[in-house]
Amino acid sequence: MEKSQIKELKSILKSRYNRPMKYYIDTCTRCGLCYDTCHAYDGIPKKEFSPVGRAEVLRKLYKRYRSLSGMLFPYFTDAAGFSDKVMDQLHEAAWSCTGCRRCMVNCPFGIDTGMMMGVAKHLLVAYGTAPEELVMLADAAVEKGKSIDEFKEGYRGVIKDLEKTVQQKLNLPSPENLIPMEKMNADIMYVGLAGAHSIVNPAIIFNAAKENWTLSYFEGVNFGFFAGDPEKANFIAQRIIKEAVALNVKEVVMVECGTAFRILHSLMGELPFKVSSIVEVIYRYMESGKIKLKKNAVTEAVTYHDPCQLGRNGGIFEEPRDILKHIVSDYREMTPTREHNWCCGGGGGLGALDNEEFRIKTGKPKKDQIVKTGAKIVVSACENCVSQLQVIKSGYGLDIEVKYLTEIVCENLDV
Amino acid sequence: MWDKIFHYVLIHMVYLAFAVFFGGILFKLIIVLFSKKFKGSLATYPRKLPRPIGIAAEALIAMVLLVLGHLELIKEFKFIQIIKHDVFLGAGFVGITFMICTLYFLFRRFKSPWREISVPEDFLLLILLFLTTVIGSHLHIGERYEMAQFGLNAELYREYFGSLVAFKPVIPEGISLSPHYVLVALHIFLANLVLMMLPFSKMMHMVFAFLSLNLKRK
Amino acid sequence: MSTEIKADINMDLKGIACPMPVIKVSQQIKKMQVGQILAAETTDPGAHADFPAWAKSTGNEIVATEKKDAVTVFFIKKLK
Repeated sequence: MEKSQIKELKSILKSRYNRPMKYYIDTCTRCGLCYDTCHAYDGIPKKEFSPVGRAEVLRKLYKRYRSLSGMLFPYFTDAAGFSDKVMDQLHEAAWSCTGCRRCMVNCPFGIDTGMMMGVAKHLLVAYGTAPEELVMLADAAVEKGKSIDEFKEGYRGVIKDLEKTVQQKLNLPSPENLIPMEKMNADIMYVGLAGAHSIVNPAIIFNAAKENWTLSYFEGVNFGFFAGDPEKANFIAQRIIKEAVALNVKEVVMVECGTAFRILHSLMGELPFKVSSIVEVIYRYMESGKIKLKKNAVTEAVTYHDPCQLGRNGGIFEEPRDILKHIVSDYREMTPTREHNWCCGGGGGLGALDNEEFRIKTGKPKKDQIVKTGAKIVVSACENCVSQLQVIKSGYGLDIEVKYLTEIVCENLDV
Repeated sequence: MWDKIFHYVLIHMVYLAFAVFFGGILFKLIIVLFSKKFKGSLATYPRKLPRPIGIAAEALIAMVLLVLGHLELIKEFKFIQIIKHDVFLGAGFVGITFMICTLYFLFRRFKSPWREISVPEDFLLLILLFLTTVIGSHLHIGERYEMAQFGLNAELYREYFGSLVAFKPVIPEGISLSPHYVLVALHIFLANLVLMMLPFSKMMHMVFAFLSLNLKRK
Repeated sequence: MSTEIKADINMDLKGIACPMPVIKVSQQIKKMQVGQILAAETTDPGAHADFPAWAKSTGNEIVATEKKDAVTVFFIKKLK
């Protein structure tokens, strides 16, 4: 490796050496309790695919350059400097982690491997081995933010088409303004994704509840964060924040997407508006009677997969369950569930990569869980989870149907 | 010559060890205090217990017992004697349990998958802790069961330790003239090493565990 | 809008999950020759902003778009 590159990587290490990182570098005792908690390690038992194995690669670098004992006695703590070999190990470590933070819940010291892998991904961006798909998507998202005015016209045109679908579903007289955009002082700004389902279904629910809402021009997902580039990640998140502030909305509601919710809810610090997930909003409507859902309309066995970023990392456990228990007559819980639920294996941007074989293998604990429940319909509230569950379904030949929560809600909406 | 070395180990090095121990922890905490905070939240859910209780419930409190046990070396504390017992607590089982634990942790590291993640530090620290406990345990059990007129009672340790705390260090003749003096010196020497290494090794988890667990609940 | 444009390769991206349309298109574009045109059919409303933004950031060109009900066809020309 060239000296200038090492210098650049070292400066990234330094800039990311924040308070939690200081704890995590010194605290891990390599007790190995996290081995059993990682779906990737469960699927492929290899050191680099375990939480401690992953973190250890990064920890070696930190010890070498930023800790006293590591600088004085590198042998003692197994510290290692930057080299192509270490960067390859780091690549394997970072890009097998979905950031589900199941290991953090089970770690006696609460070490956040997901956050550490964020730093690893940042190093890989500088080293030039970050997955090019994600870098490309992040660049496109940044470009979209810079020149949104050029794209507004075309986007509004297709949204007009979607309004007709909403009109049909709700038997309304006119499709006008069923999906409002750029509406000032709205109570809710909804942030969707690129796919039509992520806009139509919530639009049906918002209109059924007669909400004063508006649709964002941007997509909730943050490819900058997935790729590991904090600058781009921040820019992409700021697009939404700026739009919400400009429109003076009270609440920003995130699409069924784990990352989108986590970034705005937990990682952007204090914001001048409330951040909720669409799941919470549906629950609110259901409780207050703004929308009516058919009781026990689905008779097939249904189970719910907690998206890690909504459940464990966002605290949304009860809402989706209460919604489903209302619609479904045979609701089944997975074991383990809630904060101990297994990650499906599609998070952290892994779902966008060309690694289906890896994801089928590491989805094994999830598959076992689903099979055990005997459920015919698996519901989840995250785009990544749903597409990964589809991969698991076809990979293992499961006889299940995977559905979005908004989808099953819309199907059973009493209009 | 050995007398001089033992004297140094039992007095000067103890002060040095405690200075490094407290100074090191303080140094680490100051570094943490001046470090950049994480902008967002690293919380996990659900939070069943309020923050301080949750942290205490999760953090290991075994070390508290160890500290309590050693407090009695300085003098008789009424609050510890709420449950009547002979000094030391646990009739020698604390040391034996600790030895079994360190051995378990050590042997576990020879086996996959722990073998792959172990670094020299892990082995060395466990060996160090094991040796310290073996000798400490030996001193204690030897006295308690009066093996071969062992003759090193808790009173002597109290005199020695109490003098250190009062900054008027003396080594009682009962210790310095005992045939087991070398063992006492070795135990103190190893304990000093442990203390000095603690702030700069992974043993720092004793302190940081509380802080990193706090992040999980913030 | 011109329907005269002849595409060298056609891709059906209807109904696939986010962010696959853009990824699939970029993978396909990589395999193609400079100057060739790719026709990508999609139902994603987001594509109307994502495709042009992607084209801009990667230096390709969207020569035309064609809308039939919910389906939109993007004609993308590989420029480099």
